[in-house]
Formats: sequence, structure tokens, C-alpha cells
Amino acid sequence: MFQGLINPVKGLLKEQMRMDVISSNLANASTCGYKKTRIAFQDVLETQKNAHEAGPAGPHSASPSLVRTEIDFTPGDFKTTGNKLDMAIHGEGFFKVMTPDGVMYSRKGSFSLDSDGFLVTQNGDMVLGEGGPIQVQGNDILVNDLGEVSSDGDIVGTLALASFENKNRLLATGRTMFANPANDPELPVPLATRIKQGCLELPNVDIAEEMVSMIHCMRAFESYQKAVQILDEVNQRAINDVSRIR
Amino acid sequence: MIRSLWTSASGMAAQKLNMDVIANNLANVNTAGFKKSRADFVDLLYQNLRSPGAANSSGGEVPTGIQVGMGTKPVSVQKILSQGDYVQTQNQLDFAIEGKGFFKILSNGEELYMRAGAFKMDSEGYIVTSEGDRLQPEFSIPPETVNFTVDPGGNMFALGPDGTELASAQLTLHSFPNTAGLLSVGGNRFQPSEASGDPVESNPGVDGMGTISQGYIEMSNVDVVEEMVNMIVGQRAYEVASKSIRAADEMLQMANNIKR
Repeated sequence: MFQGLINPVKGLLKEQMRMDVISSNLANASTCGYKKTRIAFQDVLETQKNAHEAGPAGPHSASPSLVRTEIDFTPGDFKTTGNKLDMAIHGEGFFKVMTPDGVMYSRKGSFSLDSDGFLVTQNGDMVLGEGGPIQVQGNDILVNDLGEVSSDGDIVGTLALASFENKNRLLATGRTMFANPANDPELPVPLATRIKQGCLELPNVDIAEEMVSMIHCMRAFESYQKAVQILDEVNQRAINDVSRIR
Repeated sequence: MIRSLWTSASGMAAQKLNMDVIANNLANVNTAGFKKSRADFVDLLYQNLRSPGAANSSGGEVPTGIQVGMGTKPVSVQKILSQGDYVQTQNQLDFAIEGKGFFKILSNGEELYMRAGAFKMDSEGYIVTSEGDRLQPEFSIPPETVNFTVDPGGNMFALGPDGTELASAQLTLHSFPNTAGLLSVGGNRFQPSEASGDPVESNPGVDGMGTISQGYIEMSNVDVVEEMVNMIVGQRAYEVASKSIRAADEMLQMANNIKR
């Protein structure tokens, strides 16, 4: 009898998770290099169909295990900062950063120099060039379209860029970095990829879209809440009214 | 739901810091030698409910996992050391550095560095900052000096009434491997830190050091239009984070109302 309650309760939990994801996207509405997370729920009908094909398992509805999140890697807009150590990747690819947890991938190009002149992220992790970390000695730092870093006219390194066949297998680890837990092979970036010095990639969060999702999410939550209340009322009647002897 | 309340709160806290930095930049728009800062953010940790590539029940692997982000956090307030505008003052003791480098001053026995070159003279003729800290290397301008000149290479000459040289000295500049790592200590002054590396001393115009322009002052590098745009963006981001707190709160309220 109480089985009916499970479905709307699962719905409530899913909407709650969706709200968490929206909040996280909105909290990062000004985090350069941030990639928004999208949440998707697998179709209920499709699941039922699959379940029937699989055997007489009875009707299933979407449960939280059928939720999936996906990082949306669409590029963000560029902001011109004029700062020589700000770089943005125009096109496919990630910067490679050496962190204590191994090589990580990032789209955030607001770099700095450390006390030895190495190119580092704001966290102090070294940015990798094709032959290891890049050390800048001179004053005038120039980065051309191909990612070749030169100081005082001498090329001191080339930014190492990596791309992946299936970016969805990357794991967001925070600090706008992505890990490659499955050790997928790095692919060379497409020839069209360009480095833009003096630019930063803004987050790809679309505030209007997130607000609409938020309304959607709240209303869906409300509907599930109503469904729980109605089912509860049905149960209440079944228990109290049906058996009443007049 | 509580998760999203804290997530949104992290967004609001980040934007508050952003506004603090912008407000400081705007407050110093007319401060000679001031270098603007920029707050930089990264996303916080993710809660991995299921990793992409994990095995599913039928032995295959899930193409995308479930990761819920936990918000944002400030990672640095970065100094932007681009050149400020120059203002002509005609004052003999105003020096601007055209290019790289810092003046060194001695403040209570501590060596500090600054770009602001609005110097004064103290009672003994030494070149000092407005706070009375002496420019290094120290140079005392003799009282009978009529004309005091500094050439682009940093050679300071004190000339007497008939053009004779009464005293002279070499002004030096200092640079750092990572100028953005300097510590602001107020009063337009910077202190070397672990991150900035050790100062390198050189004469103006040598080894990539800037040259000296006498009678000019370097103003701040704050661009009011840019700061205003950043302020609008920051304020809206703050607003949107507060909206998601309200939405999460309403959802919690609905959840509470399930049981009447």
C-alpha cells in the first residue's frame, strides 16, 4: 500500500539534487574557467520498458541511481584583461598542470610566476610545457597563438595542451581542475586551437538558463510534495474511513 | 537541500570578497603608484556520488557519473602590475619609472619597495617619501643647490648657482622574479615575500629595468570603467546566489509542509 509513496519521494530527492547542482553553477557564475554541471534524469518510461524486457521485474520508476551528471565543456566567453599572464584556450584542449595529486587538466589560464620564475597557477602548481615546467627569465613575456612562451624574444617553452576523445570521462576535482581517473590517452589538440594571451575564459554558466531550471526544479518539487500529500491522504482514508462502521 | 544552501552561501561570500577588492581599487583610483588587485575564484570540491567510468550492474561502464559541486572559493587576490598613467607635475622630486622596477626605501630599518615616486626633502636634504622614509641609496641634496636633475639612467646631480656640480649619486632600481607575489604593506609600499623571490638591483635602463622620468608621477593603474563593469557583474552574481538560497529555503519549507 505504501509503495506508491516511494516514487514521489524519489522525485523529491532528485529535485533536491538538481537544486544542489544549480546552486553550485550559480555560485561559480564568476569563476573563470569553470565548466557548469548538468544533471539529467533517465526517462521513466524507457526504464520501465527496459525493465520489462529484462524480465518480470515489475514497474520501476526513475530512482536516484538513474540520475547522472555531466560536465558541460562548451566554451565560455572571453574577457580581455590585458594581463600578460592571463591565457585562454580558443578551441578544444586543456592546460596541463602538475599538482601533488598528479597531472590535472584545466581551462583556467590566470597564471602567475613563482619566486624562481616558473609559470604557476594561482594555487602554486606548475603549468606544464611540452618539455616540463616553463621557466621565464626575462621581462617581456609573450605567448603566441601556438602557445609558445617567449621572454625577451627567446622561446623558453611551449604550453602543453591536451584533449580527450571523451571528455565526459574526466572527473571534476575542484579548483577548476579535472582529473583523468581512467588514464584515457591524451590526444593532440586540433590544429585550430589557439592560445589568446591577455584573455580569460569566463564560466559557461548561463544565468537565465539556470534561473529557469531553478523555477522548473521548484515547481517539480512542489508537485512531488503534493503527490506525497495526496497519497498520504488516500492512505489515511483507506485506514480510517473505509473500515468505519456506521 | 542543506547542501545547496551552503553552496549558494559560498557564492555570496566570494562575491563579497570580490566587491571588497573592487571597492579598494576604486578608492585608490587617484593614489600615485597604486597597483590594482583582482580576486580570483575556483570551484570547490565535488561530491562524487558515482565516478564516470565506474562499472554498472551489467558489467559495462557508466559513461557519466554523478558529481555535485559544492560551490566556489577565492584562490587569490592577485596584484595586476601593469603600467599606470603618467602625470606631469614639473616637480623636481617627482620620479616616475618608465618600465619595470621599484624604488627601495628604508622604513624603520626595513627595506621596502615602491613605485610611487612623489619624493620630498627632509631637513638634512635627504630624499624621502611623504612618510619620511629615505630613498636608497641615500642622497643628501646640498642646501646651496639651485637645480636638481635626474637623467633617465638614474644619475642624480645637484647643481650650484653657476652650474657646478655640488653632489651626485646613482639611483638604483630593484626588480623581482615574481612581482605579483609582493606583499602590500600600505602606504604604496611593498615587501618582498617567499613568493616574490629576492630583489635584483640594477641601474635604470640596464638589464630590462625601466628608466626614470623626472617631473612625472605614475598614477594608479585602476581603470574606472573596468571596475564598474566588474562591480555590476559581481553584484548580479551576488544577487543570483541569494536567489538560489531563497529557492532552496522555499523547497525546504515545502518539504517541511509535507506532513500537515
